[in-house]
Amino acid sequence: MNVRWAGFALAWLVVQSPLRSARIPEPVPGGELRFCLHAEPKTFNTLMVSEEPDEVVRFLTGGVLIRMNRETQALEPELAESWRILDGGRKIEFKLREGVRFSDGSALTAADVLFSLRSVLDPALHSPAGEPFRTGQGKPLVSQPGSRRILVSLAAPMPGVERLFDEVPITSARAVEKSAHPADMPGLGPFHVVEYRPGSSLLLARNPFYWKRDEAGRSLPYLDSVRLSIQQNRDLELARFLHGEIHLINGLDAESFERVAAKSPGEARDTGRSLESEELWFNQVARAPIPEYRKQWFRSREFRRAVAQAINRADLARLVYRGHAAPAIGPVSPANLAWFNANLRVPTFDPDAALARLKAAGFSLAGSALHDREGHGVEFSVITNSGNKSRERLATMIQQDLARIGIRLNVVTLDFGSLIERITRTFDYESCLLGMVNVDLDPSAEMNVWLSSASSHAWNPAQTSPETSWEADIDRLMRAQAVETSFKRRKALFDRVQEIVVEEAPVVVLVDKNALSAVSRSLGDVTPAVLHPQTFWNIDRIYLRGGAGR
Amino acid sequence: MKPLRRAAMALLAAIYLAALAAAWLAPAGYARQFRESPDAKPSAVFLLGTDELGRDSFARLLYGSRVSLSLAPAAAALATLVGAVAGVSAGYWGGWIDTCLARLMDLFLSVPWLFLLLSVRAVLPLNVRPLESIGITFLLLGLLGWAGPARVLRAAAHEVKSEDFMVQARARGSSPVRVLSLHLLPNLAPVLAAQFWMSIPLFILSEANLGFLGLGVAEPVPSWGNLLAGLQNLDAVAGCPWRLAPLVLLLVVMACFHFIVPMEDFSK
Amino acid sequence: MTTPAGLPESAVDPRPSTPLISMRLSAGYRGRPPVVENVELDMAPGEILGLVGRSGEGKSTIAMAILKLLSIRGGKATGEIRFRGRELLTLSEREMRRIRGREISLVPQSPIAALNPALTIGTQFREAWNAHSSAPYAGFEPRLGELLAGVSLPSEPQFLRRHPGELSVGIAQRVLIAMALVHRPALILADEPTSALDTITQSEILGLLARLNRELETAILYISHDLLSVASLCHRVAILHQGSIVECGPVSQIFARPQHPYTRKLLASIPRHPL
Repeated sequence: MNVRWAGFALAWLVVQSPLRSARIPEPVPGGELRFCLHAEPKTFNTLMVSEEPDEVVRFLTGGVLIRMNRETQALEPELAESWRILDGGRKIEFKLREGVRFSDGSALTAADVLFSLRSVLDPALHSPAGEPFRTGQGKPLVSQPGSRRILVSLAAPMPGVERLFDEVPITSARAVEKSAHPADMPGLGPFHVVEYRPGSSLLLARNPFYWKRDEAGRSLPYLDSVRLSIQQNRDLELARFLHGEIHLINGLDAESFERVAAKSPGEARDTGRSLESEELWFNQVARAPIPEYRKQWFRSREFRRAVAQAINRADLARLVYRGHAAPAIGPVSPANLAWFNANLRVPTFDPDAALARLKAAGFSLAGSALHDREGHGVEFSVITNSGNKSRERLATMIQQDLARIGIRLNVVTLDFGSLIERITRTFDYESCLLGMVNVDLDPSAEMNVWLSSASSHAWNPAQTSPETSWEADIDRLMRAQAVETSFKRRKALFDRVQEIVVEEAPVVVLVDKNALSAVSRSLGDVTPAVLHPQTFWNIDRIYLRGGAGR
Repeated sequence: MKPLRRAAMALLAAIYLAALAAAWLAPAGYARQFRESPDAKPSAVFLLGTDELGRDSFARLLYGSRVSLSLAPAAAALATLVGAVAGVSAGYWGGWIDTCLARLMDLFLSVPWLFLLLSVRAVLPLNVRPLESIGITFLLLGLLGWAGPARVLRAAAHEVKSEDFMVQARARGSSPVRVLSLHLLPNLAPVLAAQFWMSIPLFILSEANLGFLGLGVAEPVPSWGNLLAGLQNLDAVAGCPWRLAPLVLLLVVMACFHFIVPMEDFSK
Repeated sequence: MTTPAGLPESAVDPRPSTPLISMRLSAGYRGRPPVVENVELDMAPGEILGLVGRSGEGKSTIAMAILKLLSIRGGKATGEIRFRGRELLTLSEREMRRIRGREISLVPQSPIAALNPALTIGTQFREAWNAHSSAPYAGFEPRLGELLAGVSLPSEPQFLRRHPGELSVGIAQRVLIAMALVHRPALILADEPTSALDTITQSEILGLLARLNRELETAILYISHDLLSVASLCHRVAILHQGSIVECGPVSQIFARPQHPYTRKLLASIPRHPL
């Protein structure tokens, strides 16, 4: 039946082709979009998704109550027609959309939503999507106060909790049972899996029962199918794009971007600053097995700020990333539209001021070498992971920048395992250069980085009590914003955190990398965003120009 | 053969001299970043252009030659020496010495290097100056690369050991030291030489791999290894043939070595 | 030992006295049946004993066992070898080394292969000298001249500077015989010393060995499969067959009245001889 319909449509298109552009306004439905997954999906059970390929599949085939618009970063109603925050941030009530159906035609019921939310929030099931809700202050309860109403009651107020529902999958008990056979698994997303060839590819077909329609009342998505090839090698992925075999690549590096741009300039898309940055921090762990006098440097605010001032970030962005990066302003990228502290300015590059600052702090230049008050030559090592050319180049440039103020920097590239071992367990390092990614825009998601007691508090993790007054300040501000319900007041608190981080420079944020992607010019309505999934966040509206797939 | 050999020696000497005269031939130095002209094309100022950080590629090539052309042969000599002692002992004395040493060779050839080198990196201090890193690299390559030569020399020693003249020397009552030094080693010399020359290009390339583990020659000091590693991205080279200079120089030097070492000795 | 009547004086051991060497020997190689079993042989000082057998009968094994060098080829010997009052099989390697080349020398089968191709003749003479003498080599040089002359080799320095590859097989064998004589050993093991040589050179070498035996009174264990050369050189002959001595006696006796069928077969396989 379907086949015959497609054949008929094809014949119709061929016959009508001279008039097509006049008759059918873009977007034209149909066609197959192709791109690559970078690893084998681990699970199709939407409740248990934790890795990127699984997440991509879930994004394309699953439904959520609230979706964050990746472009505006605003929350939009999805399977929930609307929602309300009640009881001072302690409760959230969803009103379910009418007439939503699974890809097998069955209706989405309130019982399905109850099942989904209870499963995600059940600590015994260890659903990764439920992780942010497990605050240790008690288990959230899910209830159904009305026929189309669902109420989630939290043990304590969680400001900004609604954003977390972007990651909470809505499914059904039937679907979870069938997750071992993805082709039989009903879903609520714009597409559903029709064929899975392990190690090779996944074919997704348009969900004929998808609830969304475009402004003209046509049902979405426009595309007939999406083919995901499993391809780990990024060079091969690039080659396939350049040969026109695939339509999209997310997360290009600067060099690959330049290659796409050289071949067809319109297809290389630079979306500007992303949420990925490169950072340098100093080891401030008291029990670190490094000489005491070096710890003194690293614990000196003036020393850290001098280093920050002596690094030419504009050069880093221009040379290492060929301009596809920008000097970082603070710990939060401007790409985080809601939370970036717009009062902060790009730190100035000023080696003379840096030197003056060091001299004021008791350092002195003897010849071309900087010495501390006790006469120790200022020399330390920076570790970074090997195999990452950009990072190695950053380190080499910083080496030359610091040499200008008499600091000798030794660059050591380590394999990732050894690096993590050193920065999290043995603390046998002096400074570290690594990248940071902000996946969740909300400051509460960064508690594990900024709290002095947190295990990811890079420069001095898991302190029993804050070792410095400014860390105590950050702790206080972060805890306050976590329970504050007013966005404005939360913003003010988190702005101050950003200021302290810039003033104290425990981490020197070097550059914000741009979000780079490759998008075939045969695609319409692709508007790459900095947030995952970058190029295809609006998959239901992406179309092939002229229905090219048919 | 003779004139070719002489030409090869002259060429190699010229390359060595140029490497030694790097400071004079390339006054820009290997580390200085001319950040206003990254990825420059060859010009009168930068004979081979600049790298992505604006460093003079010609200077880096010369200084890199200096490092690699002294480091690799030194490491090869060390590896061949250690390999010769182990291999000849095993092959000549046989018995339990052979059993133990042969096991050790197998172990060294099958060991997961990654983990061994990782633990080496773990015990070394982080603050290794670039110039010290050259010495460490030399020792590592030399001390870890012995098993290959040892295995070849073991087989060769075993073969030479049962030659008539060896039996005759022992029947003459010569002491083991004389038998070894007068009869065994001179007859193993071609094998030793072959192992030595073969190790050189191997070590030049291994040095680059050590860099991935935080060993190897450290930034900003150039070596052929890290210069060649920069050529991994073929597209960076396409349209910029001058970037192939390190590879060309490596091939030229290896060819020179090939002609200088009398090949008829290898055929035995 | 009795001398059979009616034989010419010269064919008999001239001085029957305490043996220079006497052995009862079994030997073989690892993992294989023994090559020689309970071989009993003795030699008087200054005697030339021919050890005859077809190839593969274990003749060379006996020579290597006497030098205690069987282990090079993975072999092992048991039994006893008494040499000048010492039991060789129980000697340490160090003691044995003092005997090799000083009291017992080896003249090998393939002279070119037995010389180190990488070294000059002179160097190898020097090595032979230094192996057993701490006296300066210079003191030996005049004697070396005599030695070389004695084996009809030129003694000028140019000759000593030559490498084995530049020598003919015959010359090389003379060099090796001269080397074997450096320390005037009591016994020379000549392991098929003529098999690699042409017939004229063969007879020259045989003549040389006979003369050395006469002049220096060096005993020679002459190992060969060539009965004619044995007949012309040796005092006595021992026939080795399947790892055992099947017959042993003065040359004239064995050739005239072979007792053992194998000996007869050997004799039948050669052209009629003048005896």
